[in-house]
Amino acid sequence: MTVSSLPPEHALLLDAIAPLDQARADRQAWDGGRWGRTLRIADWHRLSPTLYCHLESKEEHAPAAVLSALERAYLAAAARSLFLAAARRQVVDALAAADVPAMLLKGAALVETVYSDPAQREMLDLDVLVPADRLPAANAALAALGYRTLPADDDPEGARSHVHAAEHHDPALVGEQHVVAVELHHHVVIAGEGAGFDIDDAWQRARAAPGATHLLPAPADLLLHVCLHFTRNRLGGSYRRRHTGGALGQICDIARIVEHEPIDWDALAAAARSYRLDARVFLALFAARELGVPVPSSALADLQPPRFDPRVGRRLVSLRVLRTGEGLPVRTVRWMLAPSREVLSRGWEADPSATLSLARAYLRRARAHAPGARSALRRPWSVVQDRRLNGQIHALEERA
Amino acid sequence: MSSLPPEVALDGRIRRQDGVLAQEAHGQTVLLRLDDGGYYALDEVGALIWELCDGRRAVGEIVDALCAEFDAPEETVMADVLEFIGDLRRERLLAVDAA
Repeated sequence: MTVSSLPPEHALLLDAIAPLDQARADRQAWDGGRWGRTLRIADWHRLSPTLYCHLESKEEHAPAAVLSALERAYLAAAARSLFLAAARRQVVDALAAADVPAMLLKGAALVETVYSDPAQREMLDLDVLVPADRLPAANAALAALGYRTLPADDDPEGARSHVHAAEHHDPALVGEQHVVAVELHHHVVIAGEGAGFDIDDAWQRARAAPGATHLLPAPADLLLHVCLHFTRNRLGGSYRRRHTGGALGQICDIARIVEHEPIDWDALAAAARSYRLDARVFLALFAARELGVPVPSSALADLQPPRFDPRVGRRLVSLRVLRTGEGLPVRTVRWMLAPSREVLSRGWEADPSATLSLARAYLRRARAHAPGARSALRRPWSVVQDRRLNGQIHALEERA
Repeated sequence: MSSLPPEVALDGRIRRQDGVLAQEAHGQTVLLRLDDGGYYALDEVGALIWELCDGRRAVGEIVDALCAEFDAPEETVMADVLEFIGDLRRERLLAVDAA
């Protein structure tokens, strides 16, 4: 992807996470509107703290109000990272005391390996891998610290996506202060991914965290897991998943791993192939390289699925990575225009037995989705391309 | 010399409260109070005073250390330190132990 084809706001974010010799973004003529839009996009990509550090360290500062807003986000992230670090120490100590092997995953592992400033890696929860047969002991150890699953009645709509149970981890456990959630994983893949992924391999390759009792993934496993999440969040079959924010935050993770970790690219390719995850890992690395992360071309060539069309990869980047958070609605006409009573009552507070209440809920929902619908009408070809993208990606996986 | 706030005795030992975490963050120091999640940012000078509040030093010793570090009148430094300690005591980040 050429620098000139990048939206300017995304160009600035990329300058923050994967700098080139010459800056991609020329901010000379930016007005307040563009800066405001940049703040929203940075937030959606979970890069506000990183953008603050990038702009603050430049001689050519951003407007004071922009820096101030970013600084607030940065300091909040720093405070949250302190809280999470304290919780992390408490959790791994409790697991060690219960004789439960523990390996940190995702953000928790990244802040101990590739982020020198943990405030720059926003984290929603702590992900900890434990052996499947030790899950009951791990749950008991965390329960003794006050961690509980969130009761359904206390589960606000906004938090639901972060505390759901999945096939590869138990329901999230939330601390007494409702600030830190811990997800105990017994695997790193979900149903339909990585048919041959043997989690014992990951345990054997893991490294000890310096001066601590817990383990960290081997460098190649760290990268593989981040890549797997990137594609899972961009692809899959789920509307919600495809629209998860933080795409450039994940590209930042890949950039930091590539920069700081000694990756054995041959081993990564071999593992990805044996787990049948090569297409997913390839797409994440392809996207990262398109955006300026120095992924070796030989590593990409090793993982490239047969008959891969780079246009598909670039479409993935333009439609599902360089997003603004405004959404690219890919829904059926029926979904848009004829929601069921259940949808209106569960999601929009309608009384299913009262026609007036249903009508009001219908209008509230229509108003909420109107910006997305307008966006789709402005970009009909993008919507068509987006609809086709999942099929094209899945075809790549079948060929791999 | 400025008058002392009544809650800070000159010979009291200033210490950081338990349950407060500190971390350097891009040129600032972020303090987090664990019991309620309240957080604060200190600039370079504030961070230095925070470091000096180790439970062994009294106000006068902290002022002496700062005067040695910065070329500033002792009276000004004393006033600033007392204001800082008073503010952080009110926020439950610092405590003063009797000598």
